[in-house]
Amino acid sequence: MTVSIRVAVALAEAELAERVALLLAETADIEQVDSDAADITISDDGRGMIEIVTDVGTLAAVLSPHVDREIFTAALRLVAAGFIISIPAPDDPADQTESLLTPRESEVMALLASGASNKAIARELGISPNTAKFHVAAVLAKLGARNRSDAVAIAMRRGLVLI
Amino acid sequence: MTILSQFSDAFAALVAKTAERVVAIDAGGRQAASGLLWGPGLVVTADEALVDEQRFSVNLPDGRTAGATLAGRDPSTDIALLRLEAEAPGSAAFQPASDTRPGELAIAVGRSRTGVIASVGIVKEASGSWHSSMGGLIDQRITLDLDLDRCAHGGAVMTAEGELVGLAAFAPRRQALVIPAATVTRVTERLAASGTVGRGYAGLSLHPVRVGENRTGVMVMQLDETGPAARSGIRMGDVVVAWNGEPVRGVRDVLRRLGPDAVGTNVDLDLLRAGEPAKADLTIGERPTR
Repeated sequence: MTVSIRVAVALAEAELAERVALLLAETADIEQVDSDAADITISDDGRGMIEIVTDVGTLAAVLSPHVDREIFTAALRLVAAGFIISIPAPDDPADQTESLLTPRESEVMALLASGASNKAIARELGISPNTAKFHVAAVLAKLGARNRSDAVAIAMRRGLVLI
Repeated sequence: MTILSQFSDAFAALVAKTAERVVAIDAGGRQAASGLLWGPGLVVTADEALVDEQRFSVNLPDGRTAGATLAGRDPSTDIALLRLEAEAPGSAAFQPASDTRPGELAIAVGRSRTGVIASVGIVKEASGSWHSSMGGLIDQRITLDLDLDRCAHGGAVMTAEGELVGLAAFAPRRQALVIPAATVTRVTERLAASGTVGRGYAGLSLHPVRVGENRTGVMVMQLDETGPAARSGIRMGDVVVAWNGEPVRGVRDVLRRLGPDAVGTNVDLDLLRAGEPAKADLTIGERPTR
């Protein structure tokens, strides 16, 4: 008996979509469907990693694009069965970012989102430019961001700043 | 002279001529990127290539080093503009390439601390315009079959005719991507004038949720009480299920639709409010900047 797992593929990058289509071919129990009928959505994280997201939007797995078919299909079956198997990449800390940011860092994050320079952040919060710089560096490190633009993008995706 | 050596000389000449307008950008001893001399005293580069500094040291093509400050950045199109603190050598402006086709030769020219970095490949994909994950309009989707050096990030990608295809950048998995010359021209004009490119703003934060059996939406978790969403009657806890009739799968879908060109547009939202269908007519505002 085969249990059918309904999977939607939502990959922006053609190369990755092709690779996933190959991985999904010839699997008896996995069925590709439209996103509104799916149990699981396969997407990408914008940095080339494959994400498996449940129908309630939980990020359940992050896989390398070079994953082999056996692991890939096993991951889909595990996620369909309710397991969360994601291992946060070193530059992509877990989703508890909000609690990781101190209240001061959250203020800094909001200012970063409005395009403020370190000088402007210092002025706004009544702290020294060096302290502002220190807070910005801490926010970047906690979010695993390359630079402040990247930090803002990550914070927007995670609901840490208003969009 | 053989055809092969003529071919080689032509390549080297093209790289040398391009390199007269390509600089290296250093930040605190770390190589950040390459950049293009773009009008008087300005350098344009890829925003993603920059580390988080406000001041940079630029190695000019004539061997001099000049300080530069950030003049503006637009993460939605991955373009950053630096203002040089010294006079840049006079150089001809880049001629933008028109009608880039798959299979054309593409020559990437960057500059490292020690000198010019060149690589060659072909245009892999050249299709229509697209919106980045942050909603920026990129005039053409151009990817390259070319091994781009990290130091050449933000440098020039040229055609065989010596025209500028655009800025060299990276797509996921280090695939070489081009920010087209048309996009660079359009965005740098705005950055030079105001230092920033506005971004659409609804004034809310969202979390993905499941709706019924097999649909998804995004729930309003926070609301700017004086923001556009609040003004359109959206309340905390509302679930946005469609944006102009198109289903909303997650926060990314919304971010992609809140780029610079969304400012001032009207959006029909389908909502679920306490389980009942509702509608909102949202006028996208502009993200407050300071």
